[in-house]
Amino acid sequence: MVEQRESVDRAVNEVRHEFDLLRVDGLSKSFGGVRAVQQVSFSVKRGEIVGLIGPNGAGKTTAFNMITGLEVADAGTIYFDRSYITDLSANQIVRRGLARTFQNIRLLDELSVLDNVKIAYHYHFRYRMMDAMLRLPRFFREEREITRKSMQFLRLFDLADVADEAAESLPYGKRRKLEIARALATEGQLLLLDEPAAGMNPRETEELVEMIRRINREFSVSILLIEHDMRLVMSLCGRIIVMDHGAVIAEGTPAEIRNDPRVIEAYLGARREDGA
Amino acid sequence: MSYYLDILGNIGIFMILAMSLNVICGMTGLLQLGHAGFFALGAYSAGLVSIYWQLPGLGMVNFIPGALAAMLVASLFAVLIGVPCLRLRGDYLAIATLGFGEIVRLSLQNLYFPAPPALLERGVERIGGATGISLPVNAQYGSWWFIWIFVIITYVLLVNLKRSAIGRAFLAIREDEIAARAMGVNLPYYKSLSFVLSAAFAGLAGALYAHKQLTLHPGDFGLLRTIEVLLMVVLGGLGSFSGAALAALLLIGTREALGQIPYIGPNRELFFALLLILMIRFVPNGLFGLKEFDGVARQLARRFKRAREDEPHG
Repeated sequence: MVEQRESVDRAVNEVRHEFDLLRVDGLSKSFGGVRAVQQVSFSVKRGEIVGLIGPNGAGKTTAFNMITGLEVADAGTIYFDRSYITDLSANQIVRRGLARTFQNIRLLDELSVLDNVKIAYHYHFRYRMMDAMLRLPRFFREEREITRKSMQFLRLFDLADVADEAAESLPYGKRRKLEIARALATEGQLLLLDEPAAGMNPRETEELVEMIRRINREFSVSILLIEHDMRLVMSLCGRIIVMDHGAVIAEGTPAEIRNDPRVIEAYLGARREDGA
Repeated sequence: MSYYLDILGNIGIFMILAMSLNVICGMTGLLQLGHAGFFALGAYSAGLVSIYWQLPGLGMVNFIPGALAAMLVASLFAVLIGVPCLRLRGDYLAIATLGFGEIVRLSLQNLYFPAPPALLERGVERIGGATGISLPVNAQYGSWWFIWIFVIITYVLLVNLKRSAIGRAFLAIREDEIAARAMGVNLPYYKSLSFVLSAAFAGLAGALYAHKQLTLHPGDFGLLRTIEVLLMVVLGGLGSFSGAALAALLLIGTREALGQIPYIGPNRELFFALLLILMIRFVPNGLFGLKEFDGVARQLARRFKRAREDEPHG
């Protein structure tokens, strides 16, 4: 009986792994005495759009940094696409198909908009330094392909007409878009968006929601996003994970999250029992 | 006439030096203050190859092994000091490379090499030290056109590199290290590559210098030389090879011109300090910014066109 139970458990686990694109288990990180992230576990399935919400300082961005290899986790494991990526560095992780954007947009300001997207193909080029320096056929073949693909993404995001401008000359909304275009151009399977709608006006936010849906559908890219705009999160995400003080406090569908007392408490503060 | 052609040769050597420093300081954005050290290693390597193995009857072909040795030795030292130093952040890298440059200069001041057979016959046992080394007289390949062939080769190779995935990786590191990592750029690898490449071309400049001057003194490769070249890179615009080359022309040109004027001539270094201050105040992005000649030409053409279109309206 017990044996049967165990084999069922194992089978369930395997099936779960089959569908989990990203699986985070017991992830922890401290900065000095501050426990920024403690024992965080969650998963993102193939094709999902998942929201990661929580008050400021809840540890959301730190979790993103650990998943993308920019920060080393103190404890815990990260699996992506069924392989162990906990110890990989950022540049290795993006090669596996996990790309991100940043809360404070990180573009290559002095480079052209086109070059900003081309950098996403960094790990695709195979030509050698000599091919580039002597402009051998191999260089042209690969660069042509990179330019063609990059322009495709720029067109998709309505940025093709500013391809030659410096990235720093773009208005805020377009800079956000460009960063998402760049992350998408890595041709990964999962995009981590850190507050993509921050600083956008309602119309731009509307556009963004449409775009994220389209990316999710047309490119079959799964999405994990941090966001403070609750309307956006509720309308876009199939599942929401809530963090507070470094820990996951709730997880569920938008409807469940909206009515979860722990979430309300985290956002609005605890009701004081003494009535003061 | 030969005086002006001699200056033209010097300008060429400084153009290569400035372009090579632009690889690491301009494109990759790492402050490197030991460039004169790599220049010295290149010059001494080429010089020693020429002193020991100059083959009669081969003429300029003799330049090739020396130049290759110069580039190789400079690259090797770049690998040796790059691996530990490139892990340092910001100012520490500048300090570490500054130390390297001074170590090279002081080592050359105290290092002696066995004299070649021709000198041994005349009773000279060793060469080097503070008095430096002298190349054989028939090893002078200092014609301006010979140097300028290498200027053009360097320019073409490096601009081609800049406009490739490797150049983009260098520039991405300069613009934002975290974004570069998140886009798949392997920082230690590309920083080292840029450092080694920069050193290799500085070595080439050193080889040309050795075969032009024939006598090399350790004192020629001090910190001031590095600063002078850095000034060219900054004046040209960080990341622009065209700018670095043009700045080398302007700075060496003005220096020679100032040298002709009495009273100002001996104090002309003051002028460079003044220039540096004015430059940072008025053209912080340098002459060309990140652009090359073609980009600047396009920009000027656009501005000219716009000006003409505006004319009828007043």
